[in-house]
Amino acid sequence: MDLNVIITNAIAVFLDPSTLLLVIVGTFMGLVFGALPGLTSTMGVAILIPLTFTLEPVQAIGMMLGTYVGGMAGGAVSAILLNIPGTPSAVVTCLDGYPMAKQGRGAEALGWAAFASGFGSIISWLILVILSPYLARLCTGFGSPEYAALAFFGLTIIAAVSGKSIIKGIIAGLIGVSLSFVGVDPIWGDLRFTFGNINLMSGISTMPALIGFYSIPQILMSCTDKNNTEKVDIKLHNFVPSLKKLFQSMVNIIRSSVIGTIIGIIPATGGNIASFLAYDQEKRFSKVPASFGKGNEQGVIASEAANNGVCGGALIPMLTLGIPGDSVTAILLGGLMIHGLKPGPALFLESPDVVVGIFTTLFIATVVMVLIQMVGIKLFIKVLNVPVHYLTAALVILSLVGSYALRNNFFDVILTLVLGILGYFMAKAKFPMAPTVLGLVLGAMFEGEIRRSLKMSAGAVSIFFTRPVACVIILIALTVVVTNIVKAIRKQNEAQ
Amino acid sequence: MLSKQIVTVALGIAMILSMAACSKTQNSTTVSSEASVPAVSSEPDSTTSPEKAPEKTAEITKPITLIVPWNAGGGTDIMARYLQPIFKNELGIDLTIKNVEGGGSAVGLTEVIASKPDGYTLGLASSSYLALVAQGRMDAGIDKTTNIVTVSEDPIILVAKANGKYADAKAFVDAAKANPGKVSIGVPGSNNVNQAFAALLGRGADTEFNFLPFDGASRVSADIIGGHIDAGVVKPSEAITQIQSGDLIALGVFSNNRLTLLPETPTFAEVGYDVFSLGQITQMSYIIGPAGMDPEMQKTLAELFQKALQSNDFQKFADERVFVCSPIIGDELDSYINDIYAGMEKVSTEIFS
Repeated sequence: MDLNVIITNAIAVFLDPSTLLLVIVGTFMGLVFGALPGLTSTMGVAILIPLTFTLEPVQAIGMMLGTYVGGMAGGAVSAILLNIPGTPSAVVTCLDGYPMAKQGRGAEALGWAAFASGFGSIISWLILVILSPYLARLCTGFGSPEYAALAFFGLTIIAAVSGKSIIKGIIAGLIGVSLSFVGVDPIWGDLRFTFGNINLMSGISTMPALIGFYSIPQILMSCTDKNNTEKVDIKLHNFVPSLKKLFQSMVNIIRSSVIGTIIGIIPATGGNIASFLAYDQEKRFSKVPASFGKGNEQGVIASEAANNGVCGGALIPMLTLGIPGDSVTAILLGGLMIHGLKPGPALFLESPDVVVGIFTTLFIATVVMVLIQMVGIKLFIKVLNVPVHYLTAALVILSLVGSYALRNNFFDVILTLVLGILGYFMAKAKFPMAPTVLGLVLGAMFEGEIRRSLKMSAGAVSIFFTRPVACVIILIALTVVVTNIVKAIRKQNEAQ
Repeated sequence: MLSKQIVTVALGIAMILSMAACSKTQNSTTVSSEASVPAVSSEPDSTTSPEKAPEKTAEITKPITLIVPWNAGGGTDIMARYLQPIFKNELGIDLTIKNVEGGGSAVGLTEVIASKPDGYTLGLASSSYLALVAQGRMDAGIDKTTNIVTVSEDPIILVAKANGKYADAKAFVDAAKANPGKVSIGVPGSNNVNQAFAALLGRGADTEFNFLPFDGASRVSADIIGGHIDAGVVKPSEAITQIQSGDLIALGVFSNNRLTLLPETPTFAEVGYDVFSLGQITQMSYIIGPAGMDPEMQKTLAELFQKALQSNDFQKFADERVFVCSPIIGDELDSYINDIYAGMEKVSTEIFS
């Protein structure tokens, strides 16, 4: 594309007040959808579909992009303040965000989350704008063996997100993996553990599990625990990250954003896998790994930069190949096609106004997202002052309405409550929840991909080692596991 | 303090449950108040006496709910939502879309079948529903529905990498014959029309393929372009972008006629393989209502939908989204559905068992 064309089109977007307004409204809507447990950015974008019939393509896509970016970032608010991830991508944000809030550093955590989300979006945006034609090949570089290796790598992260007891983390992870068995068998198509109930045919999805494992135990705990009236002293003064600290966190921000972008580029993976991977890397390279899970702001930064990095990444296969990178871009693709636009290399040549419009509105949405969050922090933080019994009642309603709204199905409410009771006993016994979510998401992916790989190779395990990418990922994962075990043994010997 | 919290939580739960209960009672009250509407059977409690209200013409007096058993924003959902403005502007009727996803359309369609057959709750069923019923996965028979009108037909195509190993369908099948069970075909989903066609091609050509089920067609396309699998069986709309950009080629069409959009691509009959040996199966979608609908209402709805589907607006949309929209209604529709169902029954006993 000609530079002149790019600049004129970008300026045209900036000068069009109705487009700007739609992007702002979309971003705000995304933040709300992301922050409320039970409403996801996918739902927000889907709701906008009928609107796009009448809007101009750039306006429609811009509004949907706003919701996408906002939704990814909004999940952090409830994760930090309530320990309830608003979206699957914010599970990792809970790990350090909530301890920070408990220490009175909630505003600081929200500030870091907003900045990290913004940087994640901008870095992935740069990669999208500058490199997307060159990265098209990367989108298709992953076959089943590589996906299987990635899921295997992901499952080894359980150790990093287990908290105090690795054994409990592994058990929690296996509970998640077991839950992923429910539904249609990924290869043979047989029904497993559905007990003749059609509602279980498509398996246990992430959102009922998220509400069940995070919201419901929280609600039950507040009813049964007597000593929950402790007041948190909220510090508001330092919620804008200082330049010095920002500079010190730059390596983490860039690494996590790039991880997010790469995970975004790979089709069928999403924000939560990205944030798990980024968190694990940051913890590994940190000088104080033991402080993670206890309120280290770098954990929040890694998670939020990575999940927003996914946004720009997921647009790359959508624009260059017409293949969506995740569930939201699948809907965006539908939105483009309603307007008769065919994604692919031709889109860049035939409709540069649309491509530039997408780039520009994504940038605007990112800036708007950070601004709304920074302005909103003083408001959000008030949630911590709400008396527990009011907050709990509101959470009950949000959780149950949210779980119904997912698929307009009352069965999901029952499923959420059943998982909630399981989650309550797990929480009572001090099991960590993040490994369960990780197990549920990656268990399904790992099983499907490894079995498909073996079907590709007619049962030969060598397929995982003859393909360079898969082999490298597996070797890294194995090295990590072995070094962790060696470290643990050494520690034990020293202690004796 | 403690008891206060328990009370608030209990109140919250009670509120939610009463909301659910309300929505149910509301349904039944609205149904009984509709007894005066000509289209509804005169006895609100009987669901199985459609002949009791033999009015000449049925009138549509309130919004029609169309249940889409797939996720909001998906291909089928967008198709249904495209009908909304056409119904509103050209027919003056409100069409409400309700997404009830799950179980490969089983959950939403079960809700349709269980609703009042007054014509105001309809569903967008597809070949997937017929496959589910034929395989006994859904507690429903095809006699549980009133068929209204066909919406779309998506002739499945076999795609492979452009400028890759296979120049045409013959080369592809020959490769499979040389190495039975080695050539892989990606299938979006499993035990569906897509896989049935791929298996039928194997039968017709007397060879075997290696089927690899995926979650959805986008992974199939990506894996073919990346060279991880050899081919895929997808709807034209799912691959047209990549075909037009020169990443994929369509090797053959599982249909009796060539597609207007892919005039170069031969049908498998032309190449010399019979893919209809178990009957006229096809990937299609159609509007259903619960069984026991008043025939006048059925006719009125069929004609309304037919009008909307044949509008220039929707036909243009069908061309853009690459599906065939030639609405069939009445007895012709019933025999069309029965033929596909008979085919799917044979497929499920002979291929998927």
